Amino acid sequence: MAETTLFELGVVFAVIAFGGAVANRTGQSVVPFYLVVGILASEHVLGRLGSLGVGDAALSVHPYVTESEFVALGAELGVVFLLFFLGLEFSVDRLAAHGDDIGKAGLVDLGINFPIGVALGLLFGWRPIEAVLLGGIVYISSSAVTTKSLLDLGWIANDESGPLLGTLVFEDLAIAVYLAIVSAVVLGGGGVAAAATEIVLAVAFLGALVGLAHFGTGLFRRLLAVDSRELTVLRAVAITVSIAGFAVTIDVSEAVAAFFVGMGFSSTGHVHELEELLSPLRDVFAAVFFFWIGLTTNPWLFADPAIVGAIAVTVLATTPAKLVSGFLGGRIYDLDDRHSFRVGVGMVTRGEFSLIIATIAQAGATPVLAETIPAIAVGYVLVTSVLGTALMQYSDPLWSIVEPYSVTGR
Amino acid sequence: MVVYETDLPRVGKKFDLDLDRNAKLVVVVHNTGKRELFLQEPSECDPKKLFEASEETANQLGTIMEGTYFQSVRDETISTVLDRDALLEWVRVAETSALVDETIVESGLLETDASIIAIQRGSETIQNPDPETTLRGGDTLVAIGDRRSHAALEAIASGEAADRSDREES
Repeated sequence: MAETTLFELGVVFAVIAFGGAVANRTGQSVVPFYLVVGILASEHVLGRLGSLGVGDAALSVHPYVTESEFVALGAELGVVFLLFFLGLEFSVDRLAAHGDDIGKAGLVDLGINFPIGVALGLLFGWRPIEAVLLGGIVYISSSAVTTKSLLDLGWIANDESGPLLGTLVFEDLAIAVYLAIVSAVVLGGGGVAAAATEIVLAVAFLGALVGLAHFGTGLFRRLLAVDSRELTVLRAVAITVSIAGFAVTIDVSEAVAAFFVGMGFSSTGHVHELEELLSPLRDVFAAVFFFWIGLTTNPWLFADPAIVGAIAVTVLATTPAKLVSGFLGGRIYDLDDRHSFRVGVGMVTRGEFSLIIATIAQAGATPVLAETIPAIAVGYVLVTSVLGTALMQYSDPLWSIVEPYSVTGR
Repeated sequence: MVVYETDLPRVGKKFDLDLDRNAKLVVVVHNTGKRELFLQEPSECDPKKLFEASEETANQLGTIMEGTYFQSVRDETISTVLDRDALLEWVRVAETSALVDETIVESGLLETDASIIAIQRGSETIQNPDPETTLRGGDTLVAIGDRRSHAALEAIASGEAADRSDREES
């Protein structure tokens, strides 16, 4: 870890902004582009070019962006805000009202995709916890990318938007529980006994948070009911970041803590205001998170046939799996085949959450955890985010190819 | 008429309205305030987007469709829109109005949501009038408030208030 100069930070944001602009121009989602510019700006790529003499030796700063503490902290804030927003927009009432369909479609999604990921991990000869991490990475679709594509393509008015967004909500809840358990096991780092203690501690802390989310509504409401946007922002950020930060000190995932804090805020009646005030913060720090992931990824790992093979196998196995589970989800919502197919297509993209799982793996002790899984996750997200967006854009021609094989004929 | 409402988590809400000839109108209200309108023809597989509008435009469009918009623009009133919920309006106090010879406190104007920020009387302008200020026929009240409170204020100032309350009760 090195110190960040203000200039370096400026470069970081300039590079991120450039990546975002390219993504916008090409009609792609921003996530893969933030990742790629992170990889390119890292010591592994730009740093190497620099040492080959391409970099300007006259520059007093090194010609690449270092994995500085500030960027790492900014990335952590990105995770906190991403999950805070999930919690904020998560409504128990909505789940209860549409629980039947969401629950069924969500369980089909979970039941098909998660085991495939675990099986792949075991097939690669990994330890069970490593395989479970891969299960999570391939299970969770990207809410951010999928929602953006839904809006861009105008699918939002179509019948498939309900099951797509509903299943994503189910995934959000599943991933909160999953992160809580997995991070306790990985960060606990030890044997079964240590892991058990960690899990108990994590569950106790999260229980307290759920209690706070449920009973603390009045308190949160009073705290937010100030007649100043400035104070509202500060208070919301203070509560969220300090609780998430405390969670880290007792080895509980900050992401999960942030999710439940968000849920606590969701019933205060300030949701809309908070969304408006905090979404710029989320966007900035989430971008830093994706950039940081790219920065910490060693792209030369992608030259390793074993890694590339693993990514290829994972993509080839899990893309059809999502197509099938999404299709079945659409059928649960009583859609016709064409729209059900689109639900499947929309679920292919993996993004932010797979990368959050990768950061948990990064903290692990074994080489598979620390290097292989993060590299696979980054490669996998790069491929599926581009593939998923493309599949959505070309879903109609694709459907005309698939339609003759449609089983149900609706 | 049946309106189907669908929750779109993280996006907003979707409303489906059945039209004649099995066509369907789809309105998407985004959390950001944006509205999108789609038309689903029975022969088509997917709805076609007609247009999108900001919240403000959509609200105005709504009042036009409802048939109430024209009432809020009268010849004798001048109004300036500050934002969606705040308009600055100039209201003339008619000689027959119940406000004449009342102070602002007595008049009950403080109970309406419109606040009087100035009174124009002939060539004189009373800024931030004291609640004890007596109103006269021919005064022009400069008030700030939303459309509804302006409508109420105007009704009282023009002397139509009695009429109006009758209508609301019926």
